Amino acid sequence: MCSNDFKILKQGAEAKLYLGNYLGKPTVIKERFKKKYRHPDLDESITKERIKNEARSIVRAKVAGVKTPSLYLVDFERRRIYMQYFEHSVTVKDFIINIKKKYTDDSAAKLNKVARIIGENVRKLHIHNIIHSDLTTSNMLLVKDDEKDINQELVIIDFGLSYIDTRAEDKGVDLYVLERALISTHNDCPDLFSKILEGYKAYSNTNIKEILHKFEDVRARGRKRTMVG
Amino acid sequence: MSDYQYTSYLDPELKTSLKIFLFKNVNNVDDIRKNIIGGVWKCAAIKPSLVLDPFQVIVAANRAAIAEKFGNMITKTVHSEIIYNLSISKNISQSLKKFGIDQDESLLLCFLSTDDDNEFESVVKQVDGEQCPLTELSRYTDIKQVKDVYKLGSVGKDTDLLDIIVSRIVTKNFVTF
Repeated sequence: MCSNDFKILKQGAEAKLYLGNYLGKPTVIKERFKKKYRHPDLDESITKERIKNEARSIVRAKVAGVKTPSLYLVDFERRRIYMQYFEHSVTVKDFIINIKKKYTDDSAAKLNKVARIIGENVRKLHIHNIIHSDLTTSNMLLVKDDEKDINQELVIIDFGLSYIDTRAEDKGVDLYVLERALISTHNDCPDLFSKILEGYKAYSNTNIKEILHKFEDVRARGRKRTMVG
Repeated sequence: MSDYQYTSYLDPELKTSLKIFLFKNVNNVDDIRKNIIGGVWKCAAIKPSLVLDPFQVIVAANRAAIAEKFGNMITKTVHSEIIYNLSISKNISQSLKKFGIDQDESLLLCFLSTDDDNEFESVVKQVDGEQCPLTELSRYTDIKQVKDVYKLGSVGKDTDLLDIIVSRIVTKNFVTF
């Protein structure tokens, strides 16, 4: 249960999202509810670790130059993270679907631009060894520029599954997760991922060969390492 | 005088509001310090040079009041907890020294109060200085010092500093920066 004027926005397997006003700002509360099948002590420590992990990645991403929601309160007692809600935003998923729906002359250019920005931002996370683990177009927002109504800034959300790792393998898997997500959500944009990858490569050269090599490996075998042999 | 009072509500479960006053040309800083440290005045006095935006104080104060409610404060009083929270360091005395007032001529005075609590009025009257509207805060902010104390030296120039600052404040107990 969440207090006062907060309205439920979404319910997932791990958490409920509420929307309301907190400290004078439009706010999302992510509340990780209790799992009755777990021992209470274990449940508490798992939840606490996950909240810490998510908040830590959100803060690190900011320093990496990737826009993420501001954090207003991390509350272990109530099992919640209070964070910024972007009122004037669309998910990249809806943005792409809308572009596809009403095709205009500049549609391709718009798609390419957004793909490049996505690639750059994923690269920024990876340079700082942040593995998001759930890169989908629903977990990316485009925030509208108030004056011109142009979708300017990309925000990456939901770091619930993220972790820190330096290995190229993990970055390759992260890219693979994104590719798979695009294939299932945007199968009418076949070259979207390759454009994203171009942005990813163009942003920085560091370690790029190894990451792309690992990505190809992962692609060939699937996300999990084979347990055979 | 009350024109210069800035009030913000905190977490709805607390039923508490934060009142912030900005003073300049203060002549009795030593007395103010003594009264706060001695527990006579129940408020926090903060260096305005390290405050980029009132929201920074609101987030720190809210976190302090929540910690008081749940009984997990790090410092002795909710007011010192506000100052401790403003800092991203876990060292209490360094944090209080850095963000608390010293020989400053300008200061921010912060009160946590319930609706029918007017204790702050008598305290505010005893400050020997000029009250200013909080909208003038930016005149006292020293961006260089802010960047230094929040370790923001390496961030790009388009970075939203307040975003990083508040996010670091609320994660200071488990993230190292």
